[in-house]
Amino acid sequence: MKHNILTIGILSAIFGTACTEKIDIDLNEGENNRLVVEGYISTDTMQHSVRLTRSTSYFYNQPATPEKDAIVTISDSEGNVFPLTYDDSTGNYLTAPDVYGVPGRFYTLNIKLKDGEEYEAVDELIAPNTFDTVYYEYTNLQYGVDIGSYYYWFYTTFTEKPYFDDKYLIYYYFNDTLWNPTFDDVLYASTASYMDGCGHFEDVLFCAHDEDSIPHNPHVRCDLVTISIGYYNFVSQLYTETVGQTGLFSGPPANVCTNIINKDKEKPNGLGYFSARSYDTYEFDIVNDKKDGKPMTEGLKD
Amino acid sequence: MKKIIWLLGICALTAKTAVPQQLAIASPQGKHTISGTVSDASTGEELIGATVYIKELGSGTTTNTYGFYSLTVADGDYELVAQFIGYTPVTKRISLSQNIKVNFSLETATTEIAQVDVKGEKLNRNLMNPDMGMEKLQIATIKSIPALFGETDVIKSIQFLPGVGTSGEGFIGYNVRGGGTGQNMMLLDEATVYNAAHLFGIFSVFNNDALKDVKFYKGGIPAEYGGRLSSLLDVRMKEGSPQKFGVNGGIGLLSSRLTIDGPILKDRCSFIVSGRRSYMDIFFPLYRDQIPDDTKLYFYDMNAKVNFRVNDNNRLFASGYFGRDVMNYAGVMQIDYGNRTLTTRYNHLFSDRLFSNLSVIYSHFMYGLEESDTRWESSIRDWNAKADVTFFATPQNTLKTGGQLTYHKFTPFIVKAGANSPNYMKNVSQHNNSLEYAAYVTHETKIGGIIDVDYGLRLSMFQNFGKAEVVNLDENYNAVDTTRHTKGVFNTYKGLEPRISVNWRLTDKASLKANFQQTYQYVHLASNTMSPLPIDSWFASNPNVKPERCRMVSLGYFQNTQNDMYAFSAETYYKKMYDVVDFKDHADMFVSDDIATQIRTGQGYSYGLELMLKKQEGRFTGWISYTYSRTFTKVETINNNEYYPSNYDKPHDLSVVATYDVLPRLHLSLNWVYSTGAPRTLPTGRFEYNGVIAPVYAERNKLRLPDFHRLDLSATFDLKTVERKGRPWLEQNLNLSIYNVYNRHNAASIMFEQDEHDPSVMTAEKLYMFSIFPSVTYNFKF
Repeated sequence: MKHNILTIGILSAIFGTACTEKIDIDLNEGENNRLVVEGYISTDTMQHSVRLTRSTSYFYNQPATPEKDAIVTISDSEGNVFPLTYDDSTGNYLTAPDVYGVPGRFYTLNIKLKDGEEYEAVDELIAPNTFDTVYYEYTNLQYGVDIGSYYYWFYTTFTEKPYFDDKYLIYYYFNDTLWNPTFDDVLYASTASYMDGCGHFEDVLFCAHDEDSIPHNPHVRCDLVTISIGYYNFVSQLYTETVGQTGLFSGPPANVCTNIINKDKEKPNGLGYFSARSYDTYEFDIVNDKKDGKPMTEGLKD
Repeated sequence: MKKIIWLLGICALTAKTAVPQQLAIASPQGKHTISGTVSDASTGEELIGATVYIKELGSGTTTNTYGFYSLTVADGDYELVAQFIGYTPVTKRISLSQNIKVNFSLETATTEIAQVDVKGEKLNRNLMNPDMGMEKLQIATIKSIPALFGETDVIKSIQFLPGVGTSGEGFIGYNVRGGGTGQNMMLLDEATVYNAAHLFGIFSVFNNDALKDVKFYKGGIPAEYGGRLSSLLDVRMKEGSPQKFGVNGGIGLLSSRLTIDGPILKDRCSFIVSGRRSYMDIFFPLYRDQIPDDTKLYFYDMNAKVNFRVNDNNRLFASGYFGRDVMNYAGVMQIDYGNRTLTTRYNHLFSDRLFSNLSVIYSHFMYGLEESDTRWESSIRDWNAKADVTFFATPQNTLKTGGQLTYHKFTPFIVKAGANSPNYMKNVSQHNNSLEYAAYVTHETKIGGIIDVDYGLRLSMFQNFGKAEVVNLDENYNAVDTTRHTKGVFNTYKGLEPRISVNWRLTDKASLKANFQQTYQYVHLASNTMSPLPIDSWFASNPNVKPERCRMVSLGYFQNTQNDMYAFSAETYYKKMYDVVDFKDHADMFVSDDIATQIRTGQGYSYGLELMLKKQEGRFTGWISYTYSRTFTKVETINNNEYYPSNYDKPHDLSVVATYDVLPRLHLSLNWVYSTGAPRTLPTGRFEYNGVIAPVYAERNKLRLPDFHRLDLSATFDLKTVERKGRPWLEQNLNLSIYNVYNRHNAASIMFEQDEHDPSVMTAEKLYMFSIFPSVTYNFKF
């Protein structure tokens, strides 16, 4: 995200005349009607959901309609099967409320549509990583410079696993509201050579009261979500093709990968991803974020 | 291979029949050699490509890149003529009975500042030699073309030529006959320039005030040059006047420049120093709502050259370039990059007919990216030694041979973690080393007065050596393990590069030309952006990445009319490229451990027809060029392994460039360009995931941006010349230019926005780079 800000900023800086305007364009859209799957199973005991919709033409400009009347199940590599039922109120397929995933197992989503088409998606549930430290600062200083108003800085650190491909999402909730629901600033990977073997990561979240709607003295929840490399690729590609597309300084566009496989090899695969995730969660309350008008730093987990 | 053997056979046979006994340096009985240099009388600078001919025999030659010529003919009394466009021809009466030296100093035909630099070769040069796909650009022409922000530029001028496309409005990246931007060799005094962009491409590193000669080859690249598939831009710097001091410069909206030259030892040793500095960031406060405080954006560069004439047979040159760009965004992030080159050359005449040059060249390009007290750096260093020998056997036969050795040191990745770096950062440094060798031989011959043939063979070789870690890939390009090399050569590639150009003069005013060339490229540019950036990655061939290879055939018809006032050309070509590199879909250079896992190789082909009509003389000069071309690429794993139009496939391309001298002191210029919109991969469908609308694409580059066209105008007014002691002391002019006169918003890219209030609604937006933009530049010359 920061690199996109940089390129757009540089564009503005170099080409003061650069600008955008709306354009009518014929995308030669044709027929689009592929199955789209969004769902996951996690180590949390909960009612897991899977959403089925259809792809549309690009300028369809209507919400995607849920795909009903499908037979949906999740099974694990130990032979356990969890059926899902369609919920009219949400348009999602839901498991029973006591379902949870077990690290080390492979989970398979099976879908049989009413027209007989069958799809399958498999993902591995990786053992969770855990936070080492979580702390926050409430300060008006950035690198020692007064930036004009007070902001929260949340710091979380965790130790890299001894193998190569650590992939994570980090979510922050304030008063039980997810602060970063999209994939901006939630994706972390440790494959780069300059990071590998460094011991631990540090994630920094920087947010203000007013602009980002964080209340004073909030209840904070941090989720460290360990994901598979396949899901990491999906999320990073989805990010690149949506938020990350600056047009000029982006790479050539390409379709986002998927693990939704059509059992009929002659027919196109689905879209979207079914993932397996493991969670480490840490929660705390900020009691007094500003004492005597001075910035406050507080360590919460060591 | 059969073709190569055939070519070698022809080479040997022709050399044997055309130049009997002439490899011996001693003159044949009854024949002697006239040699010397042709220079500008006012500055003393040698002229490249000036014609020297013997009136009585009707045969002659042209000066080489050092201004040297040599003619060996039968003894007798002759009139020897030297001529060059923009200069008054000089005729000398000679009596040839022994080897003699005849140097020419040509006076300029006009002293008007706008015309001083009008230097070219004979107007019918296009008919007289087999050069095909070669364009010699006049510095004055470059200066007269209206340009963005008033900043005229060599590379921007190239983009108006047929067969040359631009990678994006305002950018200096260019594509030649379907080749990628990384397939163009750019040489500044023989030193490789890996990235010629200043300020992301508004300017190039080539400072017009310091340039003497610009040759651009889109085909028919001589065998003495290699290393890139598609084109060669050979730029030579001025040497400075050995006779008098001079100062010239310009003050523009965005940058200013100053050049000083003069003698160190009169008529023997001269220097030139030329510098530029941009200051566009002083305007940033006007855009305070778009550009944060503490944002910096500037470049500076300097060219310098010294030459020393030891005696008539020995000459030394040393030249260098240093430039740096700095872009700092709000004091938070910084990108900086730049080139450094150093060239030292030694010319030696073994005899009046045997000319030699030895060059030692250093070239360095680096970029850095700085954020959060952490600096990433990447660089390329080349050390190059090159030797060339030219034997002027007869006026009909010239032989050249030589070799070069280049040591490439690539540093793809250095991380310097500071005290305030994120604590997962650590200092890392990667290097790899390689050697590139080449040897060549060429023979230029004239057969029967109507056929000219240039043919040659280049043998190139590339080796990886030294300490290195090479990843081993599985069939899906995943790194499975690493092979560590500690010393010695661990990988070798070789390539034979035959080149042949033939010119058949059908009449005095028409000729037919043909060319074939094979080229190899051992270093690669992989750009993962739709527009080229300084942080694009250069990398060397290695066991995972083969050299790129290209074969091209071209055929051309050239016709001059009305005493060479008009020149028409029609060229057609077919080009096949092998092992070209591209990034895989969704390549990620920041999280990958080796570039080999991120790139894929494939092949491509292109073909085209290029038409050009040029008016070469008179108050009205200029050209119209039209190109129809197609270029396609097929790269593993991309577009289901099917061919797709390359990013720069623009079938129709039209350029009009014109200059009109309205008054002796007022010159108007115009250029208008049109091209088919560039192909783009745009979504044809969509799906929802996690609240965002994700695109579904059909085929790569199936759709196109709207067509591109733009008109630019400029007027140059020569201000009154200030005189001292009855001689011109200060010449000056004022240039006013308007870029994009009718304010067309040409789309640079199409982007899609999700509606803030109704997330299911998507709208398309085009990004355009430039509206109408006027500018003014004041130029002066002492």
